[in-house]
Amino acid sequence: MTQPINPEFLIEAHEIVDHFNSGLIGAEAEFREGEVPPGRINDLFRHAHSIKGIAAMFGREQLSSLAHVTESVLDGMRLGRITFDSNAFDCLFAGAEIMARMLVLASEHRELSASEFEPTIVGLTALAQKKPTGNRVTDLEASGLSGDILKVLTEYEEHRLYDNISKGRGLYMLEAVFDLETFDVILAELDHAIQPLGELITKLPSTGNANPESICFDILVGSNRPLGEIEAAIPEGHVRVRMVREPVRQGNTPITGVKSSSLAISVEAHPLAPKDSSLLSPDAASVAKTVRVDIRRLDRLMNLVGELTLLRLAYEDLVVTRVQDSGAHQLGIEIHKLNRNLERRLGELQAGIMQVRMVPMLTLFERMVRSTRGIAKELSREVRIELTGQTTELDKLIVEELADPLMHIVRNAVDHGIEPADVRVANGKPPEGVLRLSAAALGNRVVVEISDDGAGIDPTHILAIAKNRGLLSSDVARDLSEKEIYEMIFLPGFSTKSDVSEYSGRGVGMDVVKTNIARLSGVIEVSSCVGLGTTFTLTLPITLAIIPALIVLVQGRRYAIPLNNVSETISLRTTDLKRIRRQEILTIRGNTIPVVALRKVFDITGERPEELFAIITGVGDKQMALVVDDILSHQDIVIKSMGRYLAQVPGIAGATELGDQSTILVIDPVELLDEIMSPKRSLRKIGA
Amino acid sequence: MTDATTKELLAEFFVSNQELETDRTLIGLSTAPELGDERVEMLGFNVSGELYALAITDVREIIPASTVTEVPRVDPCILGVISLRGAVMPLVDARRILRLEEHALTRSARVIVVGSATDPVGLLVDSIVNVIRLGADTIAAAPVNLQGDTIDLIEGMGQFDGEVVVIVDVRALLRRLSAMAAKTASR
Repeated sequence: MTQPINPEFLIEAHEIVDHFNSGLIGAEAEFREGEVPPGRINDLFRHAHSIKGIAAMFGREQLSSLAHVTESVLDGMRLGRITFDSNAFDCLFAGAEIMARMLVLASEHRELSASEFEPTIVGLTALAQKKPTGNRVTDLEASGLSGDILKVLTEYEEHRLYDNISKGRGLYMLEAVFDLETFDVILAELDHAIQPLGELITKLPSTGNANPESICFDILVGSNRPLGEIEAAIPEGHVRVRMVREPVRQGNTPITGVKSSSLAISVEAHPLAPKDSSLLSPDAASVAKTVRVDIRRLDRLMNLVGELTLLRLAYEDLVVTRVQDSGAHQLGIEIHKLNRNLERRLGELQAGIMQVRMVPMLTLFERMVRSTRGIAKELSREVRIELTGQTTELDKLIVEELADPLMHIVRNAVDHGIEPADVRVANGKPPEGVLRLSAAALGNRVVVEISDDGAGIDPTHILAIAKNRGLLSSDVARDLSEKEIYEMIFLPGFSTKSDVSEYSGRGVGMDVVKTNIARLSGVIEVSSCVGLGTTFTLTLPITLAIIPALIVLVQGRRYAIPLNNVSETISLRTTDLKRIRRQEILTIRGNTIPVVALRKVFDITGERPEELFAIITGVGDKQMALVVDDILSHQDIVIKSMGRYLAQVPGIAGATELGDQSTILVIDPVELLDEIMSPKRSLRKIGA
Repeated sequence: MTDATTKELLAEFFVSNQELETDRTLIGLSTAPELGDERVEMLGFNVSGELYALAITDVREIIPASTVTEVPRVDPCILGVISLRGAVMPLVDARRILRLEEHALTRSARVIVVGSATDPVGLLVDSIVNVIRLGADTIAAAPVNLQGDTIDLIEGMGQFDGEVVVIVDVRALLRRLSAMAAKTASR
């Protein structure tokens, strides 16, 4: 690993490992329902092969050798030497997990220690070296195919032929003449047409035609459908279908001895026809239509659109108002129309770029499935994962940042939540625990839930630990609601299990999870029921790029408040604010809401005006009234980072530029809400 | 210093900025003045009537002082943020971080941009003097009787035209900012 790691390599390798993982999950489901289709195995094989190739190119020897042995196993499966069983899935999933971890480490210029990946290699190697079972030469001779054809079949095709015969399927030979220029398209169509009926075993180019403008193929198809159905399915063209072997279910004895064409020629002589055409990616065309883009480029475009929007505003201020004032009505109307049009188009452009950033949750969820398998096996738990809403889309950046926190929660759920099978049975539960991952769009937010049907969290247990760790004094504990008690698991230094296990106790607690979620302007909440399970709810913004905001004024200073957490704005007088235990509160329609005066939390000196505005902000059932001097406008803003030196100012999400080129700060209402709500803060105030 | 020389100076910096960029990546970030009889090029600037300098290789660019947006809850040395071609960067008051008297700023106040391309930092100074060349042999360690908590920001002292020049250590300055950031976050 002397070479610097190309980020492109990492991205691509990650993607392939994700595809591989996704394929494995599919294969396991298919295996449970009966049989893993050959196309699936080929896909997996291809992914392993690609990973091996890229890894070797960048000198990642560990990864390359792991991918190599994975590839060998899958090759054995393609050829029927190795069969799928639960051990095989365990080995392959473990391989995928290790590959993903290697890639994460590679981005940090580190490698996995041998002890971490050797067992997986050993398991896969043992699998790859399994001896084939049975002798099939006789079977193939009974196929009714001529020796000429049998001779040129690849090992894979031979296996597929054998597999089709052993399943009692019929064999059909399609003799086709295609135009040389369009044959690849027609072949693909043919392949597509046959798929629902059976399997295309091989495509052999033949020389049965003297016309140099056309090309002949002998296409062998295995199917349990009668001849008529096959003929009907084949698209119009120069294709003749001949039955070589009748499906067992249809007839009595296979029809043999039909004179087959002796036109098969050496496949290697056709460089354009790959020996094993099944290895050509069926998605080759669709892959070509997608591009991979560095998300920073999209950010730049987004910034540009933001700046265009600002320019439009500046232009509107200057031209539109001035023309309207000048009394040139006709011109004013024209300019106004153009301006509205421009505004709409800019809006569409913005939405378009935003759309590009969105990805479904599926990949992330599937990674969790893979990891959960490993953790569950390690801890000897039986866990079934249920996914819902995996098509829900979220900003790519958010999805990436979500991986670690989600992983941590899932680990905790399996380790501390779901009980060992015997305990579950003793408690009258099914031995298999269920972990549910769900995602759903809710307005401009996405709610992700991770729930288990495990032991739940006992609030008295939390209190005991909190007291033990000095996070809480007994007299404060009495006043805490159940919700506040659960909130305490997010305190730094809180960990519910005294023994640090490999999976949950990696030195990071739920406080880190909470911080990471907060960094995405998200909120995490937990609810639990002893004996029934625990649910973590993550509420996240759909995108981080452009957000609608209110521009407010406090003592001559302007601030932006993101609208995504604002429920309403109210104008009020100073006298509407009441004080209880040194805390200001506001009562709206019978609800008492804590007041956060921006001028107070930001230490801004000056007289508070008589007439004020309250912006009711909240997440879930937590609410606060942000009190400001005035609300100036409502507009879309681009949040910009203030750089690493100012990234963590509490209550400030970043900065944004307005139409008049001035820079203003963007408030982070969630952080401010946290400050007044979190037990940490209230404890500190009480002096515990 | 007249406006004309400022403009010249600015032009010079903008032109050489790209070269600086590549140079710096080539040699990493080690841009400490070389020793030997070479002359070290530094950017001289005034803060509260005293002459200061920092390695020219640490200077990204010099921009006029613009409107600053105050940021609450941070160390008072950080005046706030300013905008640099669409990006937002913190503005550090040289007077405050060097614990000097705060004279009123004039039109000649400038912002020296230091730090990395992704995390630039502006340093507000009273005025830019010019590029000064210091004989490496005239650079000495700072006297120990300098005020305690600024000593780590001072790389040494030199002589220029019979005047004492205090050399600021940009990396120490950035480290100080990181420490401030950590303190702000844990507030």
